[in-house]
Amino acid sequence: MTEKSTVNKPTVSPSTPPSSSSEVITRYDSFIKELASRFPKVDQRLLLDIIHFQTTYKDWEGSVLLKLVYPKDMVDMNLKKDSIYKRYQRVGSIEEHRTLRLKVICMYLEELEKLLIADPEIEYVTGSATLTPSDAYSA
Amino acid sequence: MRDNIKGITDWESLVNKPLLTSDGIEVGIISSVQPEKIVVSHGPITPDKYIIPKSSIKMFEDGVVYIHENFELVDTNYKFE
Repeated sequence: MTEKSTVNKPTVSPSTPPSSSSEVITRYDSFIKELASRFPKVDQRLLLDIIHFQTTYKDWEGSVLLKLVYPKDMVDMNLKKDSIYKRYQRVGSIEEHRTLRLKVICMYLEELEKLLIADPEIEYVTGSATLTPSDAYSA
Repeated sequence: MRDNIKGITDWESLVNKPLLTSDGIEVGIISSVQPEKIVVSHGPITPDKYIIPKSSIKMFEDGVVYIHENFELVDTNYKFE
């Protein structure tokens, strides 16, 4: 005796994406908007890299090449350089008379937030997070 | 934020578009849009980067972004890297 197969094949419509995909994209979109709202001065790519490394690799040292941009001709960049040295014990270099560039470690999201609160004169933060710890100590 | 000024309703659509000054010089390509400013990069290897207030934008037409300021002002005041 033979039985009819009752296996249901999934129906895929190319025009309508699966609900999971659209929901994930919607949530990601709102997450990006929330990031922009909470960290309006920070390069989103840097933010996402820090969040990715910090949450994925629990032993990540927080090594970040940081570029702090200040308003042109509005701040004493040497004072900022000293202030950053006191905070991170790293000597930064000044570029274009308004950008302080340095490599730091332990730059997790919380520390970035504290830095922005401590120094409201920062106009924009960019740079890159690096995964390899040795990179944090190079020039 | 004034999201619908100068005919721009979706600021993200400006990414990868060229930005021209009032004297017709291309500053570079818009690489990211921040809440109050846009970031423009010029050059392939060690690009010059500029941070320009959104309020500087004059119009967005035919895939090109135009600003009120001339290149000298932009290069002097908005370059950060």
